[in-house]
Formats: sequence, C-alpha cells, structure tokens
Amino acid sequence: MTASRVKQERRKAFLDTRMSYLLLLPYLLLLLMFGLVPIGYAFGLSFFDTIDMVFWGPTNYQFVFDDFRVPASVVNVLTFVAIWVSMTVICVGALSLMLDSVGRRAATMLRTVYFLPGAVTSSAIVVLWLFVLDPSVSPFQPILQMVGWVSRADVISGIGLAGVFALMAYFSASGGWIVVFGGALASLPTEVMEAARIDGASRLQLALRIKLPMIWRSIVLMGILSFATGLQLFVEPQLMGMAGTQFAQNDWSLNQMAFQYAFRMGDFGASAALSTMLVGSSIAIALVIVFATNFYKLD
Amino acid sequence: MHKLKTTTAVAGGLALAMMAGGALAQDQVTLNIWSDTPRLSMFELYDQTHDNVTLNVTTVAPADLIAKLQLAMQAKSEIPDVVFLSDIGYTAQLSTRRSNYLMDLTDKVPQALQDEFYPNGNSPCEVNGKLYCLRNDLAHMMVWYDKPLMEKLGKAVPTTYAEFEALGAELGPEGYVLGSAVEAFPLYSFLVSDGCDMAMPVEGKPDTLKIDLTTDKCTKPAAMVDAMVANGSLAKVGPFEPDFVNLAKTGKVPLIIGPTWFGEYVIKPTYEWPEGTLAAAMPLKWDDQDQPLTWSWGGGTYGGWKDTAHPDEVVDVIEWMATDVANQTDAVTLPAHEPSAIAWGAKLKADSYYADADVFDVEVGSAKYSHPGYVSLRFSVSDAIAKVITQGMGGGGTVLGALPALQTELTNLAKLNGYTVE
Repeated sequence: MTASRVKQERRKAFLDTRMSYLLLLPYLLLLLMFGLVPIGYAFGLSFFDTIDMVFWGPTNYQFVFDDFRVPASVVNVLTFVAIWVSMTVICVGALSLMLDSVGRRAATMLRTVYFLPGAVTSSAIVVLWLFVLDPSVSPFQPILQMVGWVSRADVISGIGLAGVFALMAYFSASGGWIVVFGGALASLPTEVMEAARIDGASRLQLALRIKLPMIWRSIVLMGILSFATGLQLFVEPQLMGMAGTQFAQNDWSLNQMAFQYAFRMGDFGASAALSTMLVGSSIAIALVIVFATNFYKLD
Repeated sequence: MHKLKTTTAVAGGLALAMMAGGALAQDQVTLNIWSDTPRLSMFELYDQTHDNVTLNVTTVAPADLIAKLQLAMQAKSEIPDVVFLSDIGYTAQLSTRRSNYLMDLTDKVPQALQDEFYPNGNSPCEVNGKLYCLRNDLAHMMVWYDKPLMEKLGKAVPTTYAEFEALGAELGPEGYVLGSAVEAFPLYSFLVSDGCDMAMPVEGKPDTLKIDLTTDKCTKPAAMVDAMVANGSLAKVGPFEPDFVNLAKTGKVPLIIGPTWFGEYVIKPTYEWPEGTLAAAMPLKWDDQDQPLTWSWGGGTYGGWKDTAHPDEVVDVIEWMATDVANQTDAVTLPAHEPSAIAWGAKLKADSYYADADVFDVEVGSAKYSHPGYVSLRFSVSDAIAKVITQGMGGGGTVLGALPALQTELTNLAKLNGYTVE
C-alpha cells in the first residue's frame, strides 16, 4: 500500500466519522436540551430549598424518605412494572413470532390492527378503558358479569390497580412493538430459515429455536425501555379520577408523588429529589441489564 | 381572554371637558384574572361596570389551576391578581411557606361585610384565624326527594338518620336506592354528621387537627352506611355513574342526600326528573343531636395575590364578585352572601319545575346548620376516603372496618403537611 493510499483511506475514515457525528447532531442537541440539562437542573435543585433558594443539602431527600406514601408507591410501581414488562415481553414476543409464521398479507393487516390502539394517545386509552371496565356499559359485560363483577369498583378491586394500569399500558404500547418486531423478523436471513425448513423444522421449532435466539436482543431492548417507561408511570393512575372521585389515585405512583410535591405543595426541591432518584434508578437498572446480558457485544 | 375596549377618545374628551382632571388622575388599572367558565360573565360584568379597572380574564380549567399557579409563581411571571378557587382546599394549600400566594383579607374586608355571609359560609376561607378569600357559593347537604314517588310508596320524608336508615331497610330490598355509598363527599358527609373528629380544626390552636375515628360519633354513621349497603339502599356506584343515573331516571331513587346544587345541576339535567316532582327537606340529624350538623360538597371562593401591584382594586374585585347583589342575582349557584342569596332565590321560588315553592327556603334555612369543621386543609380528606374506604368496599370491605386504616392515613397526611395531631 502506498503512502498516498493510506492517506486517502484515513481521510475517508475521517469524513465518515464526521458525517456520522453530523447526522447524530440533531439528536444530541435535543438530548442535551430536553434530557441532560433538565436532569442536571433537577439534580442541582434537589439540594436547595426552592422557596428561599438556600442550599440545604440532603433535606429534600430526607423529606421524601420520611413521606409515608413513598414506600407504598414504590411497591405499587414495582408491582405494575413486574406485571407490565412480563406481559409485554411474553405477549409481544409470542404475537410477533406467530404473525411471522402466517401469510405476509394477513400479517400486515393484523399488525395494523394491533397497532391501532397504540395510535391513540395513552390518556385517551385510559378514558376508553374506564368504560371497558364498567360492567354497565362495557362491551365485555357478559364476561365481567360472569366473574361476578357488577360495578366498576368490583372490576378494579378484582383485577387490582396494578393489573388495570398494566392492561391499559399494554394496549397503548404493544402495537408499536409488534410492528418493530415485524421488521426485525422480516430482516432475518432467508437462507437460514430455508435451511431450517429443509432440515425438517416445524413452524413452532422455527419460531422458538431459530427466530427467537436471533431477535432476543430486540426483546431485551424492549424490556429495558418498558422498564424505564414503567417506572415513570403517571397518566394511567392520574386519570383514574375521571371515572369519579371514588377512583381518584393521586399518590399511587412515584411520578405522581413528584407531581404532587411540585404542583400541589409547591415544593420543587422535594419534587426534584424524587425525580432524580427515579431517573437514577432507571439508568442504574438499564446499565446492569445491558452489561449483564452483554447487550452490545457483537456475535 | 376578554378585554373591554372603552371608547377612549369620546370618553376622554368628555371627561376633560366636564371634570377638572379628577377622573384623569385615576390611572387605568389592569388586573389579571383566572376564572372558570361559569364565572366568566360575572367578571365581564365587573369590567363593564368599572371604568377605572380593566380585567384581563383568562379561563383556566379548575383541575389545572393549582399546577398553573405553582408554575407562574416559580417563574415569577404572569401571576394572576385575582383567582376563582373551585376547591376549598386551595385556600390552605396556597397560604403556606411553599406556596405563599393568597392575600390576607382579614383587615381588608370590612367586618360588617363579612357578617353578611351565612354562618360558617366563609369558614373554608379562614386559615388559623385569618381570612384569605371570600366564598362565592354555599354547598351544604340537604334532603332531595321525589314527592309523588314518596307519596305513592306511602313513606314520610325522614328527619333523622334513624328514620333514614329505617326507610332504607324497607325500600332497599324492593330495589330502591337512597344514594351512593362510594362517592367520597356523600360518604364523608355521612361520617361527620354526628360530630366525628375526622381531621377537624381545634379552636384556638393553629395548625392543629383532631383525628379520632374510634368514638361512637364515627362508628355509628359508619355502621349505618354498612347496613344500608348490605340492604341495597345505598348503591356501590357513584351518583354520576351510568348505573346510578339509570336508577334515578327510572324512578328507583325516591330520595337522596345531596348538596344545594344537586337539584339544579344534577337532578334536573342528569336524572331528568319530570317537572313537579322534586322537593327538598332539611338536613337529617341524629337522635342525640338538638339540630342537624350538615357537611358541604364544594362551594367556590375568590382569592387575591398578596404581592399584587393593585391591592385595593384586587380587594374590590373580590368583594364585588362575592357580594354585589345585582351581580350575584344571576349567579349559577346559591350565593354565600345572604342579601345576594335572597335576591337570587326569587328565581328559584318562581320556578315551576319544583314540586314545592319552598326549595329555596329549605336551602337557606339549612345554611345555619353548616358544619363549622368544613374548612380548608392542606391535604384532601376526600381523596383519603376514596383511597382507603372506597377501594376496600369493592372487595367486600366495610366502612366500619376501614376506619382504623383511615385514621392512620389521615394522621400521616396531617403530620406530613405540618399539622399537629391531637
């Protein structure tokens, strides 16, 4: 290789890197403006008395830890996340694999159908669910009444609030993931599939032994993202009050507590402390999962 | 947004010609107002009748008001001078160190004017002995009933809770319903009707609440609700849920305990009781009481910003909104200001919708039984009731069984919000 050739290669590599940073730039800018700066601001704010603006160290954190509602909402949120993430991983994974084994046209149509609830904003979905869960107006009235639930209160206490919110969140988020997985499965090499088929693999074996190991990273990614979203649960419990004051849940989740601190009590410092801890745990858990599963290791 | 455009050229010219600068010395003051929709026309009327003040009115959804106010205060800009507060809890929540918004009106509103309000009418505006707002409307609970239906059933309208419970025991098994057991406010009103110390302020001790749900005064009403749920006379659905509305529309609700606004805003438009059926009666009392003690459900207030540039005008707007008779005559709900209420009531008396002409008399007659403990707190007791009692009821729990848990919840909430608990 001549010297000029090496130089040319280097220059090309440099241009490529520069180009990729240039393409990343809009995202990085937005991340900085709406992600990192607010997190940094909240982190700073969490050590201040936000009324007289004096530094008071961990007092806000102490306040949050002393609040009797916080442990209860930690349990609530973790229960919700456990139900929702397992539901999402199992159901979305299973549905996507099943869709991939039916005819292409039927699969596309079904995927669109699955996606439809997700196209509605999650707040609207909550309102919709409030009707679905009311035995007097629900289209699933016979089923609900078969279980012996005659009022909305029966249904909610029967399923449990964590379960109700998990159902709501599942239907608003799963459709999008099914579409994503459709793409991931469609991009799997056809020669591998054909080889497996020639070797006599059934559709089930094809799905579980060949396709699943090839898309597990996407499934882990979905799990991580769902987990992070789940910890920030807010809309579903917050809107429960729309069904009537008797269903109001103003301090069910941690994010609601942060909202209460800031916008009810007017204590932005305490709110910042709780939010900082919330984002901290999301990041910590994501890091553990990423490194424990060798997520970014190339095969 | 609403802004009154005065024809400055003409008015200014006339003023210049007629007066020796007196009117001109008065600067035009602009106040920022946050209102809900029903109060818009009242603020507009103030604007039109007061030449020296221009109101810049913004409509804010009642549920968003506190959040928006906190943001404005945090940003230190666009802070409204006068607000309509739809929830009585806001008074206490907006006069804390953390959110110090409300102006102290104690010495600004003349005592004579304060005395024109119904007894305890302004209690939701008083925090630790200071007046922070003026009440717009009363909302105490009373008895609403379907007169022809009660006559058909051959039942007398109850005057005591014992009679009410007995009526439920007779009618419940026949499929009639006398109200809801799960909606927080009606349940709240049952529970405190005999003087139960459910987060009640202690006279003379600032920031002190008495919370004791173990007494007979609490367990008796709780047991009554449980018995009435068991026999079906109190529904396990809220009064605005479709199931309940259906019962009310089909003549299965002969009687319901509800606030003063229930007739005009729930029974008439939602339950659609036909003309000539709805009548009202005085609030119920317990056998050991000399007179009823009635809780309230709502009733808005007007408050001002303590750091406003125009304190005098702010006080004037608040006073006018709550007490101007001409203005309040057309108010949507029963005014808390007595002379206004009397003027307002003429319309109700002439309304042929009601079965009796005395509905208004019952409304104002029962005002004196208003519970003095209906005050503004920095936390919501009704939310705690919804969380602790109502949710348990879905799974078959009782009100009586949930009282210890409610006591713990309320004690925790009170301490968290800086109250001393007795």
